[in-house]
Amino acid sequence: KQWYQRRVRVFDSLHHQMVLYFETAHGPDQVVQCMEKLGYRVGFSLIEKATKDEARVKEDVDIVKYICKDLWNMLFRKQADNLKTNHTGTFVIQDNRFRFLTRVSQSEQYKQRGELYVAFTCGVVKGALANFGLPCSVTAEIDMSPTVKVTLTLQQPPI
Amino acid sequence: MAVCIAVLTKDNCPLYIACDPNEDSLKLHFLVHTSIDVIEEKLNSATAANDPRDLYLGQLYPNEDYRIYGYVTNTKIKIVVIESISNPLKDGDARQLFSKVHGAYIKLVCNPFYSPGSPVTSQPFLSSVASLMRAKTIA
Repeated sequence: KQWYQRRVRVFDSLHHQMVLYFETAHGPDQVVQCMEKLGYRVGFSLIEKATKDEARVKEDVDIVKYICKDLWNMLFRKQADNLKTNHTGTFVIQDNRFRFLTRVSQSEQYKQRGELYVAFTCGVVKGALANFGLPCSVTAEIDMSPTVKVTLTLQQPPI
Repeated sequence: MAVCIAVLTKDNCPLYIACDPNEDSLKLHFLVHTSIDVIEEKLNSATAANDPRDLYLGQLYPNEDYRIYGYVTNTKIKIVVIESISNPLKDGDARQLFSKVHGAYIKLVCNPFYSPGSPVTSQPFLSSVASLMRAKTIA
């Protein structure tokens, strides 16, 4: 368990540095895009590997549930806390203790910067869904850190 | 020993097709192309004979000279293996073969220098598929 915690801390620091790097190298408006692109490729490969020996996942809802349970488990060692849908292709995944924000203080000062820390995860979700064959747009809202709501809008209406 | 191993993307574009050099590759390409329809039919059929959650589709359709087996991953990548009729694959062997091809594909996708959908030039993938084609029995 200690080994795992060390790895987690290493990745948290790396993630933080990625945000800082993109901010200085590409400017503050490009950070979200760059992090999302990175996350996309990571999500794509992760899903390819993870679904190798799983049973076939058929429905769109099942795919989103897979994201909430298994993908979240792989990334954060916990499942997402809540999943809502309006049954017309929009899903909202809620995580009450989003890992990258648990160590950030909850004052107003850091509220905007919080968005930069969710971008990578949005990219991972986008890449994962794209590999399942469900292109979608992914956005995140942070009303009250560390609670994060990730909204998925499927681009084609679900069959 | 497989006569042909083909990997198709989710849009049914051929990603990689390896054929035995002694055989007519055009004919094999054509067979792979026709098997796409059968795969789609099997995926969509409501009353699937196999367990609908299984990734392995079994023998796709009968042909005088060849047996054609199919496999679809959760990420809609289709793998088609063609065997000559004189050398039928047992169910367990076929599953193992597909599992190994799938494993080689996963390694290919996880390679950061490979961008998904582009032509395959990765040596490890090419050589592992070639060795699977040559293997007389799947270890």
